[in-house]
Amino acid sequence: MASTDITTPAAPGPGVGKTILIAEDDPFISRMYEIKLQGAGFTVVLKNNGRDALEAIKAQRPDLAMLDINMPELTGFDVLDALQRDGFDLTSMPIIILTNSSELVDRNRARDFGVEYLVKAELTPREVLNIINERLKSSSEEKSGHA
Amino acid sequence: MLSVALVSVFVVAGCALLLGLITLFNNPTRYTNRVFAMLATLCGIYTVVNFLADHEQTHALLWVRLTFTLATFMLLLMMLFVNNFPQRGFRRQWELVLSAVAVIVAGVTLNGGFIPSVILKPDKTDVIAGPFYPVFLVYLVAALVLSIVLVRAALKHSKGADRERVKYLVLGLFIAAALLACTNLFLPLLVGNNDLAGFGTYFILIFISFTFYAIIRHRLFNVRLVVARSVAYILLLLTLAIAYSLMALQLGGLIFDDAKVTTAHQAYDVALALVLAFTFQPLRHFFERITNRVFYRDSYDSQQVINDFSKVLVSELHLDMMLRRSVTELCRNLHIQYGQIVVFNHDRVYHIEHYGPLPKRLMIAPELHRLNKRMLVADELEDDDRKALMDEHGIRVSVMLHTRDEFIGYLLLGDKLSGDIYSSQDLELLEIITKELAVGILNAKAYAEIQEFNVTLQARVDHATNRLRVANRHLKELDKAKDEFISMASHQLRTPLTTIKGYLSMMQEGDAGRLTATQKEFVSYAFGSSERMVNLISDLLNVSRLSAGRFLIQAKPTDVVAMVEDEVRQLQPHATNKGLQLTFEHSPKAFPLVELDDNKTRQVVMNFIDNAIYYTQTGSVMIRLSKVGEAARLEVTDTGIGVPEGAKRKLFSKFYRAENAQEVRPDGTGLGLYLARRVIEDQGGTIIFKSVEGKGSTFGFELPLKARNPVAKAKEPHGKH
Repeated sequence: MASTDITTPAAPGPGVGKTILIAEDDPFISRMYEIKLQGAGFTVVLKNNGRDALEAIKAQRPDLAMLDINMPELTGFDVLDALQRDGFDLTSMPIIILTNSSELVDRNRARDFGVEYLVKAELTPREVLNIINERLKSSSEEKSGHA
Repeated sequence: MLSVALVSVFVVAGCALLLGLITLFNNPTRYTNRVFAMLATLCGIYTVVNFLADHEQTHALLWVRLTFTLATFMLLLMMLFVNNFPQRGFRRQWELVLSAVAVIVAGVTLNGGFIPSVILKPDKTDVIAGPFYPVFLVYLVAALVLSIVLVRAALKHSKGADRERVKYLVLGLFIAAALLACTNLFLPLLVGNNDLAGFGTYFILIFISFTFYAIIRHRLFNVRLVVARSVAYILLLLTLAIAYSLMALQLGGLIFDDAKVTTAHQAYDVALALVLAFTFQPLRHFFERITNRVFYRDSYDSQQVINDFSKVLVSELHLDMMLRRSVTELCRNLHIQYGQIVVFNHDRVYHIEHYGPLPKRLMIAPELHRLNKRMLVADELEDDDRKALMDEHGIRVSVMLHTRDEFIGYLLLGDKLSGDIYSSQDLELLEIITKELAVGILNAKAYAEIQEFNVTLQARVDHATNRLRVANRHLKELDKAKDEFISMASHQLRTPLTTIKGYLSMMQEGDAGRLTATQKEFVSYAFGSSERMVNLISDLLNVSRLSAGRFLIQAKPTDVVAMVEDEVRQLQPHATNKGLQLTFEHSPKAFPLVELDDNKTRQVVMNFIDNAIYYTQTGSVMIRLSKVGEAARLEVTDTGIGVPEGAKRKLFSKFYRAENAQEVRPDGTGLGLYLARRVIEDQGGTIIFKSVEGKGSTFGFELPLKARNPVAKAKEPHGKH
């Protein structure tokens, strides 16, 4: 899986200089998003369990985080819980729950945390990339607006 | 002494004559009645003549001879009577012979050679037997022997009440005749003692008494009422006569001077007459009451009993209470010791109610069935096994209860309290009452059956409900397990599918380098299939969520035109491949936004178009979007196989698939239309469906422009922009 000999269009996309954290325990999926996002110029940080993801979010403060729900150690929601407990402002960073669960409970929990909820299977990597771009755009507009 | 004998003679003679008269007038045409009347009359005459023989000494010889003449005829009549009562024994010709013999003997008794002379003593007359005297003796013995033979035969052949009557009547006759023969014939003849001859009167009294007993107790000659009234009047007359005589003669003699008839005396007589007049009615009632008590100890008013009985029958609904009250009412009114009602149900004893002391053993069904006659009276039965059976159980009357077409059971009655046999009044009453009773029991049984049926029905319903409840709970658990399974399986399927779909899309987008046209084509097929599979899984999840009650519509203003165009674009290659024309038109051109759940409605649209392409071999698929009032109408019309008439009703059911559809597309889930209907109806819309098998179908929906479901709106999570 570590092979990276895939030729990605080197076009400097909107992601240049931005870091995206992907917490996903399925390597095929995380690799897929990594390729797509890297192709758009993003710096991608992959974590395959909740604990590492939590550490990385706190330590590296990515521009956007995508969390799976079902992961080893901590679930995506556990991570959000821990962040909230530590006084982390969840609105300060676009966070997307990207999962294959379409359970209403999960949807509602995501809404309660104030984070976006996407179903992986229903979206292609391209569509996910588009959504990320939009979120980053609006979040930076907000920030500049507030500043 | 003289006066006592005289009074006795008058009383006995009077009774005997009365008895004769009553018997005669009761039925003058009947031979036995006539014979008995004559016999009784002769008894009366004999009493008088016998008295005269002892006390009227001037014609003593004539009186003595006459007693023997009378005795001869009395014996003849006795023989004739026992020969005819209750049934005829030997034939009438022999009776004539007997009569002739009696006439000859009678002639002999009046002959001088029979009793040549008598010895006169004070208050009695001794007889000197002549040479012809033995003729009478032979006749007497022969008459007695013949009578005994006849009575034995009569007793043997008669039955029941008749037998009882014969017994008492004959017993009285014989005792009287035998004693009379002893005192008036053998004693004087053998011992020379004629002292007791005067008692002959009392022996006649024995005969009369027995006859009366048979009349009262055993309805002899059916003259009970006449006898009762006669006795009452005799007593009344005697009382009045004695009282009046006493007052008129004794008292009057003391008070007034005998010689002169004064006005005071006349006034006294008038007063007496008034007393007589006023005491007559009360006294008559008094004696009637007394005689009634003797003759009709167990009298009752039939109509009253029937009325009371009917009241019981209509007032009681429950079988056991109705039976208990019926048998009690019946036994009390008819003065019966013991009563029992046995109700059958299909040849088996179903219910029994008693009145009076419980019997040692109850009759069992086979025994009861031997009594299957409308009415059996033990006293009137021949000596057969049924009588034995009834006697064994102390049953005097058995009545089979049945309605016009249904056998109900038996009414069994024991002895009457008086020990009498059942009167014809009793039996007639039973005849009427048992018919009503049978109907009453039938009704009560029907009522009981309905009640039992209700109870069992309730029990069955409860049981069934319980089973259904358990089954339902089990099914719910199974359904839940199934939903959980589908949900889990679907989520698990999604993960590899995400990868497949994702990499395929990236290949299409050139992330894996440039593809040849063929490669692109192949990858697009693979990607399309993976998309369909994602939708399929989504359907499955929605269905399981739907049944688990977790289906939620999230409505927001949506550009329906763009949505439909999107789906058309995706499915266009598919239609083109099949050579179908896929068109989309909408009016107005600037279509308003519609409040709906984008994801779910999109699936419905895709499902309709996808189906139309699938089930159409040639022709076209036309999509038309229009605004109808405040609603958006979408119609997808194809020229495909259509839906068979029989499948239309179930087409929108979960997992249902029409047969022709299964042939064309074996891998379908049967969920698309089911979900479509739920999605549309949950958003306040209606499904449009028209089809002609073999011609084509139109599937579509009409949705209000504004979402009508406030709950769904309220729960809408903050959605994507």
